[in-house]
Amino acid sequence: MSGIVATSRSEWCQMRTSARALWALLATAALSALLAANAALNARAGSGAALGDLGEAAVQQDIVVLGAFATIPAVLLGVISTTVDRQRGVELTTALLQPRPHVRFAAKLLVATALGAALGAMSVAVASGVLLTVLQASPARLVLGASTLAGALVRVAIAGALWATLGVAVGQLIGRVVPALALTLGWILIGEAALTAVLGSGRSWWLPGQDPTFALVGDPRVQLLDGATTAALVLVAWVAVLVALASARLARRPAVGA
Amino acid sequence: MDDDGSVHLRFDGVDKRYGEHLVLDDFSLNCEPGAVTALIGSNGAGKSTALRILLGLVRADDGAATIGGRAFHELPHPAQVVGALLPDSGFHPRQRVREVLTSLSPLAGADEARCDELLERVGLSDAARSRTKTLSTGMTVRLKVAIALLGEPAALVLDEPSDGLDAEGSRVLRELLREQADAGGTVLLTNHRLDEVEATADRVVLLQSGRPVYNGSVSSLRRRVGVVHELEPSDAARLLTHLASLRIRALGRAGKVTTVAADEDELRRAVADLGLDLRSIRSRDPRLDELVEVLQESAA
Repeated sequence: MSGIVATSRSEWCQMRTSARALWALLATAALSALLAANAALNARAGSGAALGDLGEAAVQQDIVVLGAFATIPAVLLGVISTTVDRQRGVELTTALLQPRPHVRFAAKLLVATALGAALGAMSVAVASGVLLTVLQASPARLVLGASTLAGALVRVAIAGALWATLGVAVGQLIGRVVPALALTLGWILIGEAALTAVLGSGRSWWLPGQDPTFALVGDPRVQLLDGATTAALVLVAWVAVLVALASARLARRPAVGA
Repeated sequence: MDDDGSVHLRFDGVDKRYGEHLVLDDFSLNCEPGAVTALIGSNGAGKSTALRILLGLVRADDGAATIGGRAFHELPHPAQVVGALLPDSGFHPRQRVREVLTSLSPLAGADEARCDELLERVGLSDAARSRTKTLSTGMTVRLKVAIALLGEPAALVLDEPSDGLDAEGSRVLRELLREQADAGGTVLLTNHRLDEVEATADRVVLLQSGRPVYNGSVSSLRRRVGVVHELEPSDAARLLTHLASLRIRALGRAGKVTTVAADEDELRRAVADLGLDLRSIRSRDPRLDELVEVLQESAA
């Protein structure tokens, strides 16, 4: 079996048998269900915190799009799969059987991308399921078409894949678990919001966690250039730059180890 | 790789410097197939750095380290050519022992039957379903040995493989290394347990300050150095002082004086000079640690 296929297969086996993939899927499913249930029940009850009336298409779409929350576990999975493996010496064990660092990196990217897409798709599926369940006990009907739901699923899957790839690149660049996680979470939770406030509305379209992600997953309130394709391209550019930087670092410093 | 599938491990004029510290200084070595070669030396002598350079984990400043004539990362099927063990390689703590092997098996072109066979070989069959976080140090080493053997490699490169092994584990390792060498395999290891080296290695290479100061068999080193004399004089402390003044290296313990590579007649004369009684004098072959001390002193 040639290098990249065998290494990806090994990487996937390690991800599966270390239960990392399972925990990511379970955590994402649980949190997506909670977020979607909270939004849907509030909308049904017409509470002040509601997004609007549960029967409205925009509200239903907002609930489904809450599945985009999966981008956070996806990026964290990417960061963890790289940094923890390095710190625990797992990367070194792999390097003794597959000495080409770029093949190992590519395999990690492939597996994380696939898992990120799975997390995104599953998260939308869970949010949609919660919406349908709440609608069962409500006078409102599902007004979103199957194509809208399928579109949301595909868009969030793409966002999940891109964010997981980004996480692997960040993990490769930083190397250590705690600094990499702190930087990633700090950027998502504080950094982008602060930068958006400083830049002002309309000028944050290039920040990965802001307009590009929301536009890509189909948030109807974001009017980014000509929509999802541009948003995806902005995210792809972020991924490309970070992956290129990580590859360059790998070429300069091939050594691995705890 | 040779036509018969055997593999030479070679270092050609390798230099490595960490800051001001020269770790390897024009280091050259050719490890032949069919033999166990042990790199020995004090901490910081450059043993592990040499292995890491061979495995492509550290870049040499100058020179080349090759496996079957190629750099490790240039081998088409690296795991089938060389198996390696390093002390700081690790596993996912939640993975089970067998899962570690099966998840790495695609990289080595091994199947599940090979994984089970290796678990049996290293004595981990009963622990196959245990999580790696529950393994003892010795069991962890055994698992690392199994990983090194996954691709049925022609060469083994092992950094401190005896660390943490109990007597049974050491015996299994010795057998494995002997089998590998007897089957035409090439084995290069480092080990600070010189008793293990003596029991395993066909050839020892003593590194000092990044240079080999001895390269040969333990038996030829013994022949070169000579025998150990253990004397029991009536006053060991006085004899030690006198031997030091005669520049004869000696150690004193429990009323006895031990010398390596000293002439027996000269020792007897030294005892007589002091007017001491010599209760006993016994000759024996020196242990490897005693030989290493002599070599290190003469190299210094």
